[in-house]
Amino acid sequence: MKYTYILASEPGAGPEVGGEGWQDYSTAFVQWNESAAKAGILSAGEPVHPPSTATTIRRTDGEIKLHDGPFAETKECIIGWYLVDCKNLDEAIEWASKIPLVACGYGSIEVRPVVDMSELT
Amino acid sequence: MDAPEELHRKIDDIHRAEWGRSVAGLCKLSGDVQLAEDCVQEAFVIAVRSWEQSGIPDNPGGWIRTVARRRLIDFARRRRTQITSAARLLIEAELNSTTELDDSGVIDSVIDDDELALIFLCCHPSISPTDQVMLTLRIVAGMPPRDIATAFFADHEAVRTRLLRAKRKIRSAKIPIALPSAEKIEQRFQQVHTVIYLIFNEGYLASRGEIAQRADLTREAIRLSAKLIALAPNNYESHGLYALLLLTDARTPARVGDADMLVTLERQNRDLWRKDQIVEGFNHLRKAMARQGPGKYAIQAAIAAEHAKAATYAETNWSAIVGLYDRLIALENSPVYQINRCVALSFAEGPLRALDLLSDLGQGNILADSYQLHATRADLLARIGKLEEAITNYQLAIDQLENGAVKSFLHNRIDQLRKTQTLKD
Repeated sequence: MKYTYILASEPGAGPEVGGEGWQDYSTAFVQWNESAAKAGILSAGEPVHPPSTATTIRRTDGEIKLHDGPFAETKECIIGWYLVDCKNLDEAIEWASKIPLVACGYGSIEVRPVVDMSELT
Repeated sequence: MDAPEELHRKIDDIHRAEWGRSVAGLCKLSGDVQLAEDCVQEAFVIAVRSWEQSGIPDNPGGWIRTVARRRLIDFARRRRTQITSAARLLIEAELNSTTELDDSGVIDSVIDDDELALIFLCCHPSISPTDQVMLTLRIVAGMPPRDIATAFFADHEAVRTRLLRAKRKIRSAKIPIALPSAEKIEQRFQQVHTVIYLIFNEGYLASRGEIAQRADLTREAIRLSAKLIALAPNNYESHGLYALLLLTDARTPARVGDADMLVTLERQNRDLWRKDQIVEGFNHLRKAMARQGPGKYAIQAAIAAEHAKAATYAETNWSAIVGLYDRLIALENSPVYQINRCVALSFAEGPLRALDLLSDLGQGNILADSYQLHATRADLLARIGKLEEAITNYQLAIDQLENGAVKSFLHNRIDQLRKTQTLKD
């Protein structure tokens, strides 16, 4: 069963890139990645740049229009994602709870089941 | 052959006893709560028709499960695409392995584990608390959505939609139907206890409407609590919860008086308390208190037991109750416990001391404007003869309330105080 983890945090939460505590924090991420890969649950995942770098695309009045910024203005911003393959929601929650972002209390993770296309046909 | 009325009463009992375990088995097989529920529902419809003709079979639960499983397999054959591929494989494997579908030979403990897993599923922390309550009532207790709606003063269609959405989440997010891991199980039991306690409380102190108590919900909570103990007797706090519900519910015949008026503990006729429930409550309380560090339900049950032990209100051991509240607050510092401790203290050490404590309690927390705080202050003020201030506080309490029975109870208190005032003048 595939799940996506959508990682989000408030701007300024957690150590700054290259700043104090950053080394330990990023090492913890690398360790999580390694153990998840070793357990065979990790399919993919990447961090993304801040919302100020986002471009949102939408068709309005029959035309593709661009909009500077994310599609939703929220307090928390998406900072990355993972795609995992777990036995069930309990296992997915178990792994997600160990991701340094939540384990250190810097942000939250939304666990979303991925639609199995083979079951839609 | 039973008379029709007797037959339907028996079928009701069978429904209550077998619903949860039957849904649990099919759920495990198909991974789909809604489908499992539909099949068991259909099996009961078929059962009623068949049993009216030929009487109730020796193993009605096995009969229901056999028919329900056939429905599930029929469904899997007809609509191959509508169930998950994993479920399809399971069902096909089952179909190939057994030609005889009677489960009378199945070891009971296997079904017990399935049913316990179903309870944990309904009380899964990824489901909202309200949905946990509704799912548990529907799927474990077999309560029809219409009855759940009535019990919670909700719209039938809204309850149905909520249940459907929750069941869809279980299927889509693949919330497992399994016993939690050893490290999580204690926490998950707590979640189940909370759900059962919420159901009981909603019934015991119906938060809206005009009636004082909803026996359908209190009874269902007690049944669920008993079921939990039968399935997992080694969880001590489950015994504590069961004891608390029994000892509290035992007072019901004395608690709701004429015209549905609430009667305070002080004025209740203790001869009306249900002795058998009290005895049973004490038995389970002993089990819960025997372990190191009893939980919050066990301690609340111990408080209820102090009341049950006292022959009259005047003979209540208030200092023991204050001590128990101290233990409870050490576990969980809830403002409601603080208020109740205050009441106990007012009898152990006098109302003045309790009033002092109460004004400290009401400072800047969620209780500051709660009816409990206003009503307790009013009671204490009345006891020291400050009647006008007491009336003002009762009025503040009434303004916060939605339950008609509690409101009219407080209006009654005001009327009494007014009478006392005129007598004094």
